[in-house]
Amino acid sequence: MSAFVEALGILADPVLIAAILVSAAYGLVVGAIPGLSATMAIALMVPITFFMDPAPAIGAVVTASAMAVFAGDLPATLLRIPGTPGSAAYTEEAYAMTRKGEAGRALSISLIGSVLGGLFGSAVLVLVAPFLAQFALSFSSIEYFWLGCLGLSCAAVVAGDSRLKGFISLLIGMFLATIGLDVIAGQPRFTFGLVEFSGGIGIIPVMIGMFAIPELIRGATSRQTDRRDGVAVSFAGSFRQALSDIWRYRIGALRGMCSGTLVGALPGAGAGTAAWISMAISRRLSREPEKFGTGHPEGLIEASASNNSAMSGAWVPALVFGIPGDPVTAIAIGVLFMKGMTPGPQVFIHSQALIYALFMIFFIANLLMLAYGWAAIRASGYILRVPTRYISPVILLFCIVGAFAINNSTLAIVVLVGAGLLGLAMESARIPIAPAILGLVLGDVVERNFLISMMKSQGDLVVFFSRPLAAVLGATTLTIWLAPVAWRFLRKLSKNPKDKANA
Amino acid sequence: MTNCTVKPSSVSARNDQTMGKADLIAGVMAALAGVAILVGSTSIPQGSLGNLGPSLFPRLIGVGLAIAGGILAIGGLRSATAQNPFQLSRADVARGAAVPAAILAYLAIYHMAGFPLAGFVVVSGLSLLLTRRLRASILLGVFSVAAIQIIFVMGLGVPLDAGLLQGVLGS
Repeated sequence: MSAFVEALGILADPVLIAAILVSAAYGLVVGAIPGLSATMAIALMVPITFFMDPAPAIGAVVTASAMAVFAGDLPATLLRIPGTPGSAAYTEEAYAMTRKGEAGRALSISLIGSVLGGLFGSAVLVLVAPFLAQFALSFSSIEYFWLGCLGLSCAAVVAGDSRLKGFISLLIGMFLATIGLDVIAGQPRFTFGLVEFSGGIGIIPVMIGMFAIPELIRGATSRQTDRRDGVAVSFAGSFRQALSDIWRYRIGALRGMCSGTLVGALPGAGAGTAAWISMAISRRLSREPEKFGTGHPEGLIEASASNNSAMSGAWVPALVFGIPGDPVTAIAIGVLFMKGMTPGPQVFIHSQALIYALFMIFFIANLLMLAYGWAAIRASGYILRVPTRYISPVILLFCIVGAFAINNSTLAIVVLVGAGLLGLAMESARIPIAPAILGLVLGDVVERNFLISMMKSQGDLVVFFSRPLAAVLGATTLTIWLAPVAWRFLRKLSKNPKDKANA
Repeated sequence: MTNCTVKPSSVSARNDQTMGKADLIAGVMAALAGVAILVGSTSIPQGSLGNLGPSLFPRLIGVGLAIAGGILAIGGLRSATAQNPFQLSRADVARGAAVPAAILAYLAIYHMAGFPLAGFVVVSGLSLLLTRRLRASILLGVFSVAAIQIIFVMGLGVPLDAGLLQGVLGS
């Protein structure tokens, strides 16, 4: 109890309050800039945390990351430029809503979904952190391999009409993930002798290129120079409508929060995987799957809730065992070390008040998101009022500089233009882009864990079913893969006797 | 006056045929990419069963792309016509090509003259092409470069080369 009171005292510190308020605005602005992700927002603020006490430093990191993850939905919804790999899962759906004149509704859904997801993830973090961390730690490379495969299976769901085209797109993304030094032996692959490619192709330039460049090219070629002509930009009533949407799809929202927290707590899986899995589950279990891709809010609700709950979930293994759940918590662990707090079970005993204060900051940050996010949504309405022919060149420059800022390398700009032309070619052939991004995100996870597992088992494939959890995940994945084939085969079999009878 | 109406079914059939041509091209391209990946992965160590090499996944991806591309191409061949699937006028193509061309121009100018000039040329040039308004395009270029200079260079510390304006901007 005394630790709780002490935590309240820490929270009353004006420096901490100022750090939270400023970092919230910072996270929102940086996350909303095309090309700048939540990870980059946190990485860029590390030098500033040098000069802060532990509580304001960690408070600033938590607040800025929560805001930046939501802010990634702003360019995704308004400009079709996903801010984070997670928001790429529902970019097409949110942008379709914008084209229908429902940008306010889409953004309000993202905001409320993010706030609810963040609060849910924070509650889970407070209540069952040690238990969840234990569960996450029981995952070996085998379970991660199956989890990656399960994630890749989502490609079939997000692919839309043609599974074959979705599969081709997925393979393109997986190939891009193989570029660079290989994950086990450090062997260069498809680097063309360029040292800059050793670390692989950055996901951000590819993501911006594939989504934004085709949109900019389309905007330039269109005779109707403003693609948003006739689109209403009124945001009136959108918040209330979003609330009613979320209430209507409350089961999906809850499902997104639960799966997001769980997947987020798995080290290496992160919010990106969680949002994709949630989007796929939402479509699969929906009563109106045919509406997905046309600007339907159902998947957006589940995936945006999942995205932010995963962010909170990623802090579970980070705090309990010092194992980062995603790149943001990896940087945060560095800040904790820097401030003399070694993450692990001991931190719950020796720095109890600080941990309680940290938990409270999670709730404050997510509640602040509601106010800051709403202001950002209102302000973003101005973007929709600017004619496309004026905004396109500015967006292009932001995309170029954003891609450059990842590694301060102009090679990222070459990747940006290459990915853009590839995305345009894929769109022209109606090959969906989303599975390629999924392949790029998860290709490395699947390959690394497959090779590690095979090394451990000396080439014995039975190892992939040797543990109960792995067997369950493996059976689920194989069922998802084989069920459509088996279903088609059975339908053919059942039709044949009828055909024979008719003949 | 002739009443020219098009039946929806014929439009749909024509779209299918057009997509068939697009599928054929996309399928062939995917299959060729798969073969290229397979050829490229021959130079990567293969490893053994107990110690699988780094070429395993590229090979699997190459085979997958070749097969999937082949299936798509065959499907497209069945419904393809001689119609051009990408119906764009020359002016449209030129305006569309301006976007990747602007990025390449940025790269070239950035290395020679630094960010402010490269950014200005990209924004003003593209804006002029799209709006045909010189003064507005110049203003847009100046303000965009100034905004990025403030946010990225001064705010976030991104080392964008000031190039010719090194002395003026002090970086």
